[in-house]
Amino acid sequence: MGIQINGNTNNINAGIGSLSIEDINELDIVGVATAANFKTGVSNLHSLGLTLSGGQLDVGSNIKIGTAGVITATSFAGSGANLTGVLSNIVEDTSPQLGGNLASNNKNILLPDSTGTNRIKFGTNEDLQIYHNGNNNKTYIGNKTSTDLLIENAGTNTDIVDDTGHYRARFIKDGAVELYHDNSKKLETQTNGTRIYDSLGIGADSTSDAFLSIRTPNGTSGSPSTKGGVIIRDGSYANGKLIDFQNSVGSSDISVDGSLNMNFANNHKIQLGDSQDLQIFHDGSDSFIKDTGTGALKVCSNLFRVNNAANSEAMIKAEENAGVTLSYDANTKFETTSSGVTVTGTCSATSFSGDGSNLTNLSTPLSYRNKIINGSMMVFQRGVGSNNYSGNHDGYYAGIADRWAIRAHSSMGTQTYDQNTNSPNNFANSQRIYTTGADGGNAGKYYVYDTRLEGQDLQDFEKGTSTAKSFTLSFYVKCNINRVFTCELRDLDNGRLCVQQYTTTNSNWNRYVLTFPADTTGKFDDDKNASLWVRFWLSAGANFKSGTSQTTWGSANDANICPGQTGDLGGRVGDYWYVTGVQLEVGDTATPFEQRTYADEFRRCARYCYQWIDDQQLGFGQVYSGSGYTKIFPPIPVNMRAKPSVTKNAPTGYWFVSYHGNSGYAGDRNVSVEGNSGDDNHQSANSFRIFVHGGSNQNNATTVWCLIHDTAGAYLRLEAEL
Amino acid sequence: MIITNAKYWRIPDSEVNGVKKVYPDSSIICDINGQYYGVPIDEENTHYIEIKRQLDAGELTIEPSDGL
Repeated sequence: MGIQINGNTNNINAGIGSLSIEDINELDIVGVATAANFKTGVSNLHSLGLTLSGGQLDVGSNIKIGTAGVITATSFAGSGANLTGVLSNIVEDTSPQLGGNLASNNKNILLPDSTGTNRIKFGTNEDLQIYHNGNNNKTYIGNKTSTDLLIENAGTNTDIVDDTGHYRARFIKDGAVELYHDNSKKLETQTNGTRIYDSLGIGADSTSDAFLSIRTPNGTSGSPSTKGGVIIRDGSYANGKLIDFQNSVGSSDISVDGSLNMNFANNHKIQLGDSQDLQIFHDGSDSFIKDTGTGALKVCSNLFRVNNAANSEAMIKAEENAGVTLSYDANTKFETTSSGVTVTGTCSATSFSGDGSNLTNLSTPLSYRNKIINGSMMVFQRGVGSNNYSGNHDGYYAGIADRWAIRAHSSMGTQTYDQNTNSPNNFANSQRIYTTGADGGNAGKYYVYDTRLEGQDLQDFEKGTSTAKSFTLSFYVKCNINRVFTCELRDLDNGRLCVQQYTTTNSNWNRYVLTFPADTTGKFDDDKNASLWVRFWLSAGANFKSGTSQTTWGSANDANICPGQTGDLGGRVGDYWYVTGVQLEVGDTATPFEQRTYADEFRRCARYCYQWIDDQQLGFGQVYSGSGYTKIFPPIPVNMRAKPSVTKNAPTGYWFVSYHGNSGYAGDRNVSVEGNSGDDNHQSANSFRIFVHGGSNQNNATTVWCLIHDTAGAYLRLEAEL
Repeated sequence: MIITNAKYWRIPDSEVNGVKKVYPDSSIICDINGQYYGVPIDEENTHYIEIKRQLDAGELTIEPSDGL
């Protein structure tokens, strides 16, 4: 049974626990309708999530219709055309923001060409901008402020490639930076530097018109642009320097100029060789080609010329398989030929050697340059054999060569002298001095072998003048004492001396050359007296060593003669000293020894000493003053220097014999030299006569034939030594 | 140079055109280092130079020549 409302009871049914209103199209309730549950269809409304509470209608948990007119829902569907306050798209939002990540959702962000907009900009000041410029059709990643632009990559490689994947540049983590050309690597940084593949060009490109081009050797011929190696080209840079090495203050030391000339400043050298053996440079005054290292400086050419700076005049010419010519002012003066040498003009020299037999019109003698007489030890008039002398002996002795003397201090032991055949190859004789009894040493000891020269024979030294010449003394010595010895030149006219020393280092024959400086003080007297003393010091005591060696001319002082001499002949038995080939010349050059004939050398010696030995005739004389004297005009081979002293030797009591017919008278008679010695200072005393003293059995005015007695060792000797 | 037994010597007198000529001392007869020497009195003779030096120094005396 139901409740009928408004005559239609069929539509309201009320059972126990429920009221059913059926067949009603519309239910109007004027008052409040409350119910524990509302249903739609077969479902209760609250079971569908539809709740109404506190003025808010909730549909499920996501749709809420509040009392303030706000509807919230998980989503809205259908046309929203009449909605207001809702943006139709993002363009309408002038300050859109992301509330979260913006996912592309398989879509693109499209930006059109930019002329200021249409860019992606980063940073507060829009520092980084990415865009495409439609005007020039270029795409930019631009850092628009003065901040650094970093491209950071935690991965291994950062590559710049083209649209085909070809590399343009690669930046490899913890490794190289590589630059590519057409996908071909051209530059790579490496641990110890940078490698450039193929060629490097500075200026233009690497194949042409570059100022500097370093290329792979891809060719050996053709134009420069195809050749390999290092090429520096002039290009259009003609007035400057292609290469310029400057010093610390910017001055150009070495450069290559625009005309391709290589320039070296003063004292900057081209040095060649491991030890800078060859050097070419200019020192500001002169130009040098110096070979300072090992080996020779060889100029190899089949035609070698030295011309003047203008290249208009030949000075030296040397031609392969031909000759060498030397010119003066473009005129050949000296030319080597297949047969020798041709000299055009005057030929002068310090000395000439070799065969001069074809020389003509000689105006300068080639001989007489050696001032020493008997320097080759050829003449020993007083005796050639070994002779012993002890203690003080001073002068001319048997066993000592003519013109040479011995000066020996009283402390000397025993010395032996002789002419010896032990000599250098081009000599036959030498003077030997050797010790057979040692001395004990003495501060005053002197032991000297010397010779004296006349002043009139020394004038060409020009001593004592502004044009004075030096003295060169050369000699051969063989000595077993490897020590220092002294040679002295003593100016006897002016009391001056100068010394030089030589060192014997082995017991062979050695030639020594000593040059004494010129002396502008003190002229040699132009006379026949002794002016120069040439002295070989064989030993010297402390008295002669205590000063300073007088290596330039100065006043004579014994203490300054032998400082530094260590040679001491006489101090040890068996020591020896040989000498020969002694030569004293004008100037500073030692020429080969001037060899002379025996006759020539003997005549020179006879000016100072001449003797007659056993059985040699003195010539005719005349008994004088009753039977008391015999005067003789002796035959002498050469004018003697001065009126001579005379001495004689009569080993058996006779030295003189005078014959009248076959009646002779012999005796050991005194003898003297008498008569005029010559008035002219330059004329030797050749007019003297010999007076034999003492009586004889021959009558006054008897002409007698005079001889030296024929016992060995008898002699009559004239001496006019210096 | 050791000089001993020195004595002057002169040429014996002679006669020229009946006029007697007397010569001065012209030599010194002596021993030099033990060897007989006739040394002319000549300023350029080195023996005489040494004799004169010793004479002037009082180191040497020379006997006069014998009367002839």
